[in-house]
Amino acid sequence: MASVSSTVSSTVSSTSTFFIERDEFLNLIDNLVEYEDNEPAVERLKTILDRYLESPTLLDPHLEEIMSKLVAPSNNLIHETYGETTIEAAIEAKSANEGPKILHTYLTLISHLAKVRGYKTIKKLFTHEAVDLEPTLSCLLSQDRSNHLLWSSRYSLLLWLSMLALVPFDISTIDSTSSSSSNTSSNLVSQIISISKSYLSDPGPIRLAAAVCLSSVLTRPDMEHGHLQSFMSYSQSILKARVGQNKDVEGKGQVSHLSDDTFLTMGVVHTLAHLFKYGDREKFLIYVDSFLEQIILVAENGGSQTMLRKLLVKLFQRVGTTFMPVRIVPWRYQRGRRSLLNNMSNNAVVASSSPSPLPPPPTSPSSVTSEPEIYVPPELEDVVDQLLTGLRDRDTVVRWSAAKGLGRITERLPRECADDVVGGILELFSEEETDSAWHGANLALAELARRGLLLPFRLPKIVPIIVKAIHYDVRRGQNSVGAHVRDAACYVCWAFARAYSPEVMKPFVADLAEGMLLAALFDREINCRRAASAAFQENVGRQGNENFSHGIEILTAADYFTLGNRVKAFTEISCFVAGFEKYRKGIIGHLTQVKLFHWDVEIRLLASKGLGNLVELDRDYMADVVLKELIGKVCDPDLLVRHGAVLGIAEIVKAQGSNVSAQHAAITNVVVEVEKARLYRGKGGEIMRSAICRLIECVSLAQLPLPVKTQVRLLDSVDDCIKHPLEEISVSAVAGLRALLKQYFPVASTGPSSRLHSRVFEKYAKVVEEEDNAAATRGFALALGCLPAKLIAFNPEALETAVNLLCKCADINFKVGEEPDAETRRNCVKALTEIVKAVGVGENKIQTFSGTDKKDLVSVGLSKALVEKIFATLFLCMEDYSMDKRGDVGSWVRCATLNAVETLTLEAVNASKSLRPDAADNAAAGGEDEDEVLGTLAERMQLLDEDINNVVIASVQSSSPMKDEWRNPKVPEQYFDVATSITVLGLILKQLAEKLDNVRDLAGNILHRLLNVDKIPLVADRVFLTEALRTKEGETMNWASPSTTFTMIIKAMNIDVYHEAIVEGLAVSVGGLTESVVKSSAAALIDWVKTMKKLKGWRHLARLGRTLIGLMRKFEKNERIVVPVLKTVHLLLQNEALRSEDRRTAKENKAEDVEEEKDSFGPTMLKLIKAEAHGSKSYKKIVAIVDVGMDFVSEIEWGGADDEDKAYFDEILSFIFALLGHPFPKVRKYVAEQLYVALLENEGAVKDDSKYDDACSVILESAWDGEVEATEEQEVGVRVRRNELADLMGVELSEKARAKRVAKKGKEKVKKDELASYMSLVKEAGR
Amino acid sequence: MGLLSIIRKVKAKEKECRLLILGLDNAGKTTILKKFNGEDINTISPTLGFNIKTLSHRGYLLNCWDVGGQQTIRSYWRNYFEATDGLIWVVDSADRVRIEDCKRELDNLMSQEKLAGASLMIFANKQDLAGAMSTDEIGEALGLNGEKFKTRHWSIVACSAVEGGGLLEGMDWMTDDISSRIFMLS
Repeated sequence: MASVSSTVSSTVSSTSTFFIERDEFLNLIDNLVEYEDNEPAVERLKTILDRYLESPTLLDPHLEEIMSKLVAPSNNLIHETYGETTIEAAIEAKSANEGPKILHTYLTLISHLAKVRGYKTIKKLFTHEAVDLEPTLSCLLSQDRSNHLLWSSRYSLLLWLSMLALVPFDISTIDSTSSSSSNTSSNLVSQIISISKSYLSDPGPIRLAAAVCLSSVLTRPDMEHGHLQSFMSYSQSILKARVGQNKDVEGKGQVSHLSDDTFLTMGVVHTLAHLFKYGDREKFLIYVDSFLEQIILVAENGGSQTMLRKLLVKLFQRVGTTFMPVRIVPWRYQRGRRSLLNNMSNNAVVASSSPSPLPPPPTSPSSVTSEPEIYVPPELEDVVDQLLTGLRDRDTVVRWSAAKGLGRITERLPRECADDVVGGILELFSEEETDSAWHGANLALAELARRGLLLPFRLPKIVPIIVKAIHYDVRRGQNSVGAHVRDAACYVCWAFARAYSPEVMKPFVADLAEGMLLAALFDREINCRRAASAAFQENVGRQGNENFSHGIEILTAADYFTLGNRVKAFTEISCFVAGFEKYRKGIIGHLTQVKLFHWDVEIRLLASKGLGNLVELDRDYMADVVLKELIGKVCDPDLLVRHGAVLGIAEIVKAQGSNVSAQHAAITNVVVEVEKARLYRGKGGEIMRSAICRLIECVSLAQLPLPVKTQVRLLDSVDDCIKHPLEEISVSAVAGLRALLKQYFPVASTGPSSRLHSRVFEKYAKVVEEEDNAAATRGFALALGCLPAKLIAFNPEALETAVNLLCKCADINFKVGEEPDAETRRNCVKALTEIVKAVGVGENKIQTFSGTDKKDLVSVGLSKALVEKIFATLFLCMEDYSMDKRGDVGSWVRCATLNAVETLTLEAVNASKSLRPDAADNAAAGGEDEDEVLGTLAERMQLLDEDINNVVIASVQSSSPMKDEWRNPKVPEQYFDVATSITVLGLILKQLAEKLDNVRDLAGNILHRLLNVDKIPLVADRVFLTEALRTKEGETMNWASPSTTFTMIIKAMNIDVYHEAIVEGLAVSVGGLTESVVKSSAAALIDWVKTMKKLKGWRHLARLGRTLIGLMRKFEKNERIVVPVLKTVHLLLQNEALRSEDRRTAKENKAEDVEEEKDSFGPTMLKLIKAEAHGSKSYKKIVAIVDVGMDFVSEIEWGGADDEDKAYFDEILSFIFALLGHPFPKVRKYVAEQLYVALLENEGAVKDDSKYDDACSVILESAWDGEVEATEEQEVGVRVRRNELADLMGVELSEKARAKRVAKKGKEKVKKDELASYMSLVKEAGR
Repeated sequence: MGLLSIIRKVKAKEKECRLLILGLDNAGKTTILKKFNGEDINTISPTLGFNIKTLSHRGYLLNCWDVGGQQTIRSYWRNYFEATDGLIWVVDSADRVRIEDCKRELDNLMSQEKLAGASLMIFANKQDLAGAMSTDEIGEALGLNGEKFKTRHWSIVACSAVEGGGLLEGMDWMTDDISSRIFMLS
């Protein structure tokens, strides 16, 4: 590695390292010895190293330093241990002496470095002195092989040994054993070999280290005879055994699984691959024949092991290269590389000569023009065969290894043989071959091209194949394969750009450029589009802009970033590129012949859109050729083709406008034809329906002149699709209907003919009102919304009928047949929205249509009464919380309603004359509001504390002077007032505080638009509201994210007019089930509580309590609200938000504000939960009630309580004791547990201190989920225990309660009841 | 292991890197590249587009992308097969009038996320002309000691593309710097 320090004097430069943890890292290593437990330090070191796994070369400048710090101390330790013992002793004492622990630490770090940087680099940094050899070996021998935790020591030691084994002396001279004993088997070399061999079957990384070590010993020149020979025959036997074993397994019909044999085979093959690579080629020549036969057998018997197959492919390559000597083949195509240094130093020479083809490659004996005769052994053919097979392997690593192998072998072959290899590769590009084969063949071609081994004369044959491969896409059932092939084909194009000179490439440029461009624009996969664009870029850069027409312009538009977006690539960039005539036909052809019939429906849609955009570039061609062609395919037996064709026709017609006279009749006939062929049925019928609907829409948009008969015919088709159960289809049918009705079906100045009216409006209305097929009501409800004003608002009565109908059907109680249907309600709301948009607000709102009778039709807008009616309906729809088995289906209605409210509000505001004239002023004033510096929260609270009405008026006035007419609903042409505004914003805020992410998202965006974009007038407390919901400058707010939204909405909760609405929504979130929502909303609420306490905002805390009580009253026995509200109350009580403060202020306020504060929170809430608990069978609810009840228990303090308090405490406890005798055993148990906890926290709840312990033990010792009454098995019934406890706690139970409250009903009944309650419990528990 | 990671590995093994040669028009980018390539530098007209040349230097393969001064260069920052390892910014040292433009363009380039890892080599070209600014002057004008360049590896070298002085030193620094952290792919 070159040193970093530069010595150029005239330069100024910055220096820094990329190994930022260097100092820490080295320090940790230095201190390793000192730690008692160095585990954390080692972990830290490993973590640091792991960060460099992606680009390990960054470590290179520091590797030597790191390694020396690890190797030197290890070496010392090894020598120390060795001093104490001899090899023989070490073997005997194998398990006893593992060497010091610190040695293992060092070796582990070395193995980790090898993992990160690669063993080849690390290996070189070990010491390699002869004296280290024996101690290291001894250390390795003494390792405890059964201890799997210490594998890394063995790994590193083997690597080390592989370096030491290279000592350049005769190894016997340093062998201390050889002198003492003549026994050759125990000498140093034998020991190294035998230990390495024994590790060859290791399942982990040690196998690799063993293979490396073996190969480095065996390739020593003095090993040639003896050891090498014996290892080779050992390998032979292993391979033979492998073949035999596999045959056995096959015979028995079993699947071969991973065994030691497999690992051993892998180890041996790996070693062999190393041996053939590093060994002296000529010496190994004697082995290759026999081995080749053997490994072919092994390979043919295959194996499921990817690694083994990869190693075999590698070995084939090495065997192959052993056959042929290294040489630089004279026939190689040389585009050549220039050395910067040579060019710079040969200035004078170069300046004189014009750029000429490069000089021939460096002179060598073989580079004479005529190639010398070279013997190619026939076995090489087998090798090449095997590698070609490897190209088809199912794993990429194997294919890649095979491709590299072919490259290396071809490099040594004479020209004819090399050409045979190319031929072999090209054979893989056939229809019968698998996608893997295509991929592998592409890799091999790229590899050959890179090495200059693919001669230009082959290009005419190869280029068409590559162009084919770049679009390779083979259907597999519903799916398709081939992305990797296309990607690799791009790689080949890229490699070609680098390999060949422009003159060579010129004939193929047109084909290649088109192929690459089409892939860059229209591939389904992002990686292929990018690969294709990179290949195109490389080609333009190296082959010249002259060869690749418009290359630069195209590249600038279609770069890495823009192509990432598929929609953009298909619809925008494609148009730009098609602007160049050279590529236009290719693009249109590809879209109409390939992509329009792609297996992925998304691609077919995109292709049709893209095609539509291309129309204006060549209208005639599109109309005369493309359209004609597609019309012929609309009834094709292949679904993909007929669907794509219809889509294509639709988009082209839309873009062409009425300018398609030639095909006019044929186009309108498509619908009839498709229907006649009954293509709506069976598989794919649905997508055909929506394609036809799109076609009808496009025909209408293009305003093709149609006879009335055809218009009605198309209307029938659309009607038929509207009632389809698939939502997509009815939506596209409705889109078709909208365009159709708008464009055709003229009306007279008095409105539509009665025939038309009954055919359209009355028919649809009747279906929505009376049909009991939900699919039809949904579809036609939507259809009512898309009627143009001329058909729905031709007079006030007609409009009123429509609105009334939709309002009626949007109501939550409206039923389709017997069942309520959320989608129908949602679609009614959507239809209302559309009608509001279509006709507008205001009786005098005038839209004119030229009528059939030469007079103009005037449509009416929504009257004030209708606006109010719609608002009222929408407010009700906002409360749609219906559930069915799909979950909260009401949320669909609410979402649609949110949109409707926005639309109606804007229309109403715009139509109100009194609001609009000074709209500009409002906007300006609004701007000022925003700039107004708001004080601290405390200041704002003071403001808010003022009387509610004052605040409303004040803030409204702050935007513009208050006019009476805004409050007076009687003013004409005034469609929006303060009250409506408060309700609208309140409802949106409530949705914004609720638990569903998508609803919050929608509500947030709408609110933002109303307040900040449209700046609607009459917003109560605008200043506070916008401040609460203020987003950071230029940041787009993600309202769906609970963590940010709730902190904002909490701020708005202090605003009086919106307070209740927000609390209602918030309680549902805080007491909900979704973890993220509960967490964020609860956290926000608690933060708010803390702030309020700090600022002494008791009034706000008390109000929150009152609002919650109000909610309990409003939604009595409605579990959807009551349970979350109780959970919220529980949370607030736990955080002392209501308790401590409430009773105190209640008393304080009594004197001055008797009326309002009479009911303090506790007693009122207690009454409410008692009422809720009565007769409830919902475990979930009872638990919530018990939790709140226990909060009250922990509040009890008999000491110092006045009478009122005492009565209250009694009431709490008797309620708890009533629950303790609840018919559900599970409830009784839960109450008892909670009561115990409450008593632990608050000893004061027991009247008589001395009885506290007894009370606790009664709770603990009783089986609360046992029988209520005494039975044979159970001596004492729960009821008795409960009464006992009541006595101890000083709770006075009424006689009625004491008596057999449960038993009174008779035992039979109880049993039945309990059975039923168990059922409900089981159901609860199962949730 | 997909094809991309294989290609990266091959690139690292073959020690290839990708250099963009950029700068205002008429700074001498193409002249420098032609000089590197041993081609005739007497007939050079403004580059309309870009050229890629491969050079070997100190065991490294440098794929040099010479992008015309008037180009929209975003297209070249990143591509599918390789990321940019180094930037060669060529400055016309004699053009005092446009040194402000030069700074603005360079700042703009440096703020690009995709180029964050690349080494920056600034050639203070045309030192053979009278009145050429020194490297210190140019470094000052470009604000090389400012906050923006704190985290970047950069170097500025005085050179003359016509005479050839300084070019080799610059490329030595570049290859050294890249090799010390080579092929860090984002």
